[in-house]
Amino acid sequence: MDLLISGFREAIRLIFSFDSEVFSITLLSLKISGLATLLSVFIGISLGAAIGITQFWGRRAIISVVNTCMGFPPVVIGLFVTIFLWRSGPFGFLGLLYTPTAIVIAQTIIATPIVMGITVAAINQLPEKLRLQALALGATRLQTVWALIKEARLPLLAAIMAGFGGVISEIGASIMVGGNIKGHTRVLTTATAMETSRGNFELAIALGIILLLLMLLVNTILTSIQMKGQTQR
Amino acid sequence: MSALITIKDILVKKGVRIILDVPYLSAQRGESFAIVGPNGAGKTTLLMCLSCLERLARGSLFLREQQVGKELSNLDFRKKTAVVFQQSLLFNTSVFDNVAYGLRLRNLSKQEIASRVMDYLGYFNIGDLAKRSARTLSGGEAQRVALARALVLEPEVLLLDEPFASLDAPTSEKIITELKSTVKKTSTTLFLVTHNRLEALQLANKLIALENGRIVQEGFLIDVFQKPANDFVASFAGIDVVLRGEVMENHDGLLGVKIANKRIEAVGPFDSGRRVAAFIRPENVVLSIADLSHISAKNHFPAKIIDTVPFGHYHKVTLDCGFVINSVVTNSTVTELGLAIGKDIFVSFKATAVHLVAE
Amino acid sequence: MNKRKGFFPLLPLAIFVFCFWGVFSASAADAQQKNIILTTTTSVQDSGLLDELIPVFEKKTGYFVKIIAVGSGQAMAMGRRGEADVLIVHSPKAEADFLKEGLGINRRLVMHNYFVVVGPSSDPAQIKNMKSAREAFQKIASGNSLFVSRGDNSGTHSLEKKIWGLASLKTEGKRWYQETGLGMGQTLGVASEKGGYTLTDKATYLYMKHNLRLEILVGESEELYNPYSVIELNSERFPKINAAGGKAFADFLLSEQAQKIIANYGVKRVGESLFFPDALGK
Repeated sequence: MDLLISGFREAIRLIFSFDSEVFSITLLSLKISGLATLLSVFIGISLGAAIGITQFWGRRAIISVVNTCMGFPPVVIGLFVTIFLWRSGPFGFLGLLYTPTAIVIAQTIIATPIVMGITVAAINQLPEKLRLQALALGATRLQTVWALIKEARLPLLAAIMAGFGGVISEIGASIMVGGNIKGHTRVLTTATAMETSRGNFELAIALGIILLLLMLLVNTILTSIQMKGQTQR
Repeated sequence: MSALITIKDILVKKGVRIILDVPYLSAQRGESFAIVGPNGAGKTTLLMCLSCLERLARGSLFLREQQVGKELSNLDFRKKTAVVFQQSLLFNTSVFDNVAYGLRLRNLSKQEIASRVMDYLGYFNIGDLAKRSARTLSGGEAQRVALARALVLEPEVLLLDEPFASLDAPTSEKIITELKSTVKKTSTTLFLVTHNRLEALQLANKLIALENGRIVQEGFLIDVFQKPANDFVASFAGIDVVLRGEVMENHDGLLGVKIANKRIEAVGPFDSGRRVAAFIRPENVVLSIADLSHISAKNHFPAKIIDTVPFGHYHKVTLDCGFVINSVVTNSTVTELGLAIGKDIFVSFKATAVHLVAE
Repeated sequence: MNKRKGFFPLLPLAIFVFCFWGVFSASAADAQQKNIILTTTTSVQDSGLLDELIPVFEKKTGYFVKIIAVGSGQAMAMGRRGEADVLIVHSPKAEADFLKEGLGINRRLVMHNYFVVVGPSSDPAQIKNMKSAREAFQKIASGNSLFVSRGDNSGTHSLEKKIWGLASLKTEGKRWYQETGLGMGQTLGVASEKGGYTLTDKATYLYMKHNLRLEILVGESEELYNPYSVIELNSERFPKINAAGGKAFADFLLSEQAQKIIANYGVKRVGESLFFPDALGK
C-alpha cells in the first residue's frame, strides 16, 4: 500500500519537475499512438462506412472477419510485423525494425479493425432510408457518407477512443517491433514493464500513473467532443 | 404546355418478379398526383423512380426536355426535387440545421439560408422550434420539420411517401393545410403516395392507381372517384360495396343489369350477356319513407336497414334490398326518418349514378 | 453543423502533421549504415553499465547503437538469424557452440563478475559465508529451504542449473523449489517476500537492497564466476549485417577507455565496482 503512495508521490514529482526523460517518453507515446490512431481512424471509418452502406456478395463474411480481428492478440500482430521487417524478411530492406515507424505500423494494424468494426455496427444502426433522404435533398454520394458519419458520431467517437486506448496501453507488439530503445522507441508501457522487471517498483508505478493520466486527458477531450453533439433540449 | 416531368418505358425487376412496369407517365407544372394501390403494387418504387433514387433496369426520366443521366446529371435532377418519407429521418442536430441542410449543400449565403429557413418554419408554425434538438420533437413536429426541410429548397417536384401515415388525424389535418398552402405558393408539382382518401382529396387533383406494378387507372380525381376502374380504386374512392351482375339488355346505352335477383338500370356501353361490376357512390343513394316508384329515379327498391354507423357529421346506413348497398345521410335525416336497424324503407338511385366496369 | 465537406476538419489534420513529423524525423535519423544492433541480456542492460559506455562510443564514432535487451535464449536466437550485428552475452557453453557453427567470430572476453547467493538474515539453511556455492545449494536442498529460481533460461538461470548439476541435485517437482519465470528484480522481490534463497547478479541486488529483506550469504566462489564476452556476427554468413559497425563497437569495448569505465562503474552508486575488466593493460 505504501508502495502505491510512494509511487503516486514519485509520479507527481516527475510531472512537476518536468523530468526530461519521462517527458520525452510521454511525448513519444503520444506521438506514436496518436499517429497510429489517426491512421486507423482514417482507414477504419472510411472502409467501415463503405461496408456499412453497401450491399455486396460476401458482406456478412467480411464483417465477421473484421469483428474477429478486433480482438486479435496485439502481441501476435507484433510478431508478424517483426518477421516482415526483419533483415531476412520481405521488407527488411526498408530498415524499419526498431524504429518508431515500426511501432506506428504495428499499432495501426492493431487499432484499425477495432475502429472499423465499431464503425460498421454504428452505420448499420442508422435508419435504412437515411442515405436515400440525404441523396434526395441533393447530396453527392460522398456528402451522404459524410452525413451518415456525422449522424453516427457518438458511437464513432467511442470507436476512436477504443482504438486509442487499445494502442496507447499496448506493450507486447511495441516491445517486439520497437526494441524499447532509450530515447528512440521507449514508450510509457515498455518503460513501465522494464522498470518493473528491474525492481524499480516506485518508478514503474509512477510511469503507470502518468500513462493513466494521459489516457484520462485524451479521453476527456474526446468525450467532450462527443457530448458536444447533444444540442440543448 | 410541355410536361415538367416524364418517365418512359420504366421497368424495375427483382429477380424475375416485375415490380414496376410503366410505359408512360407525365406531369405538368403545378399538378398534384395521388398514387394509390394495394400493398406491393409498386407505389413506393414508382416514387423512387420519379425521384431518381432507384436504379432503372430499363427506362428513362425527363425533366422538361432533358433526359436525366444524359443532358441532366442525376445530381442536378435531385437538386431540383425533394422527397419526404413516412419516417421523418431528421439528422441528430437542431431543427434549424436540419432544415438548412439542403440549402448548405447548394452553397447559399448564410443570410439567405437563415431567412429562408425561418420563413419555411413559419409556414409550418414551428418557428419557435428552431433551436430545439431534432431528437426531442413529437411525431407531428418532426414531420413538419421534414416537410420544411424539403420545401425550403423550393423544388420543382415534391415527392411524398405516406408522410402522414404515422400521425394522428388532427395533427395530420393541420399539417396538410399548411402543406397545401405552401405548395400552392410555389406551384410545386406534387406526387403523394397514400392510403388515405381524405389526404388524396385535400392535396391531389389527379390520381394514379397501381396494381401489380402497372397503372390501372389514371386521371382527374373527381372522375376516377365517380368511375373507378376496379374494386380497389372503388374502395379507395369510398365505395365499399361492389355489386356484381350481368347485362340483360341494352337500349341505346341504357342498360338493364341483373344483380342478385333484381333488375337495375344503368348507363354504359356493354352488350347483353356481359358480366359487370357496378359501383354506386353512397352519396347518390337516397332514402325515403314513401314509395316513390312512380316518380323519377329509375332504380327504386324496398329495403331493410341492416346497420347504421355514425361518422361524425353523417351516418352511413347499410341496407338490404335484395343486394347490400350503402347510403350516407345527415344526422338530422336519421332523426327525421327515425332510421334504425330493422326498419323498412325505400332506396333509390339514378341510372347515371351506377358506374359499370366489365369483368 | 458546419459547411465543411471534406473528411479532415482542421484539428485532426494538425495533430496528424505533428505526429507524422515527430515520428518520421526520428526514423529518418535512422540512416542504415550508422546503425548498430547490439543484442544483450537484461541483466547487462539493467546494471546500467551500457548507459555509461554507449554515449561515449556514439560520440566518438557517430554510430547509433540500438540496444535490444532480451533473455539470453532470444539474444542467441536473434544472432542465429542474423538479426543483430554484435552480441554481449554471458553463457560460455552457448557461445562456444555459436562460434563452432560459424555464426559468430572474434569472441573476446570483456569483463566478469560474480553471482551471489542471497537469502533471509535468519538463514535457516545455515549457508552464510560458505566458500562453495555447490555445498550451499546442497544444504538448502537437504533442509528443504525455500529457493526461488528465475526459471526463464536466462544467463542467471543457466548458471543456477549448472550449480545444481554440479551438486548432483534434482529440483524438478520439489516443493521448496519455485520458479517465477520473471526478471531478476521481480524474482528478488518474490524471494524477499517469502523469505527464500535465490541466485542473483550482484548489481541488481545492490540496486534493490533498500527494498529487500535479503542479505548476501555466499559471495565469491568459483562456481559463481560470470564472464561476459562480446561476439561479432559473421558477415560471411550474414551479408546484410553492419559488420564494420559491429567490429567498431567490439573493439571499443576492449579499448582502454572503455575498460577504465567498466572498472569504475558502480563505485558512485553503490560504493563498489560491479564489473572487473578483463582487457585492461593489454
